[in-house]
Amino acid sequence: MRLDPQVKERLKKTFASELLAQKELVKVISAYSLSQDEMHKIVSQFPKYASAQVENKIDPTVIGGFVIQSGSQVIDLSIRNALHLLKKQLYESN
Amino acid sequence: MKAIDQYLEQIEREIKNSKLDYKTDEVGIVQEIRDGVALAAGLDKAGYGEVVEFESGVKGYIIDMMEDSVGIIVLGDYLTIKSGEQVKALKYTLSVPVSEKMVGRIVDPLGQPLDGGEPLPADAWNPVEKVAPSVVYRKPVNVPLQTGIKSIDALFPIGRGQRELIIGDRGTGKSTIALDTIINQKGQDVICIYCGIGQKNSKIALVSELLRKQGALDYTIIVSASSSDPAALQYLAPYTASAIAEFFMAKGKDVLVIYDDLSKHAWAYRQVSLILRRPAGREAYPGDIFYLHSRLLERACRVEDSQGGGSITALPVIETLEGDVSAYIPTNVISITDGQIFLETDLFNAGIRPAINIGISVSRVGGNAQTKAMKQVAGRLKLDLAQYREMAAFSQFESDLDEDTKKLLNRGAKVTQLMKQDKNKPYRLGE
Repeated sequence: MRLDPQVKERLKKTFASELLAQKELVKVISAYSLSQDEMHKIVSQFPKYASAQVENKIDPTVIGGFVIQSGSQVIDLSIRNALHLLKKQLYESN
Repeated sequence: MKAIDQYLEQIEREIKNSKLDYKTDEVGIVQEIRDGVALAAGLDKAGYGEVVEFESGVKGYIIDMMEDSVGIIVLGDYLTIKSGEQVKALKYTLSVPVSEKMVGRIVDPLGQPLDGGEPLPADAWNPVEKVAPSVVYRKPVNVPLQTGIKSIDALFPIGRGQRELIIGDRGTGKSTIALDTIINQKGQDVICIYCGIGQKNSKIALVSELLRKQGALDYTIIVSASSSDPAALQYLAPYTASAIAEFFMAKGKDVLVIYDDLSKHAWAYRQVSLILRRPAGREAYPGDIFYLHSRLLERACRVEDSQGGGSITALPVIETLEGDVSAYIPTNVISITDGQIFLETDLFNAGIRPAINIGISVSRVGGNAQTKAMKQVAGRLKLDLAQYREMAAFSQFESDLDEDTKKLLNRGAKVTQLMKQDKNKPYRLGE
């Protein structure tokens, strides 16, 4: 798809400003929706994010556990990641 | 069955001892894929030169950082990458596995074997980009590296730790000089590295076959990024060769590295830079093309005993077009190196092989590294030959010459014949 360069530039800017806003936001991604209480419990384990605004996002591919995302930083404590690491280890140690 | 039991035991043990530990990853999202280069948003805290991993397991290397995105050169198949997928920073700068076992092998710029042999275990991981040793760790160049080519050893001696450029048009015997030098290192306790950049795979096969036949493969490593490899790998190849050389240098070995050739390396880097939309300068090369080669060749050195006491001698090769040494890349590399050996098509066709132009070839530091005996023999040779060439051109129009000129011409013609040498037949110092 061809975009008008001006439109593209403005889209980029909006995208960037939105990203900036999202940086403040901490996302907890889990396979099932979490209650406010559960979320609070999870986030309180990470002092860095204790005072941040928290949002829950549902992604079934996580399988279990949760992923905390804040800006470009990710703490991956999901089953998906664990399986991923296991796969990698199995391949590497042949 | 026993193996499985052991595995299970190990897993049980690990589960028992595991505690919930977490680490923070730095991630980004792929926005664009261009030829061999990916642009990704995010990766806010990743550094220049850091290795990243795509979802498919392909690795990349951050080479450009813009306001809100990074440019990554992809080390492998970039066609499997899709825009929108996640990239993860691996928190280390690009390194290659190095080991003693690499000697005699052909490897790619990531240190993986290309010769179909056994996988190479890593003794250590050396960073591909490394700052060259500083002044305090260096020793002057005063040990000779015999090339086995009469005219070079006599007129433009090369010392261990020197950088001597081999420059000339296509088909003037540049690679031949480099390969003869490798062949002549037999029994000299020198590790040789031949780094092919953008060469035909058939040529690499030819080189390895020649070295094997001459028994030179026992102390030689071939690093190859052929012309069918992505530009990113061709760009990395000489740095990898340097990283391998540094491994042996740290062990006190003398290493000879041949970069064949840096013109193609510059092309590869130009391609990557243009894809990254960096401003183009002269001949469309990016602004940092000089630094590209200077930082590479600066890594050639002879270090003090406290640093291992080894050396890296670099013989970069540059291909000129129509003998034009004033083009951008040739002038750059000439000014970086400690001298150049200039090969000419006319001489080559006149049967003077190696076709070295004695007038404009120099070795700026090698004189200190020449053996005494050689100095005595070769002392006046260069001047005599240069005078002869001048006089020969001049005397073509003059029929009657005085006795002195005739003598000079006679002697010059004889010495020129003496300097002729067949390829792949290097001479020892004694011969």
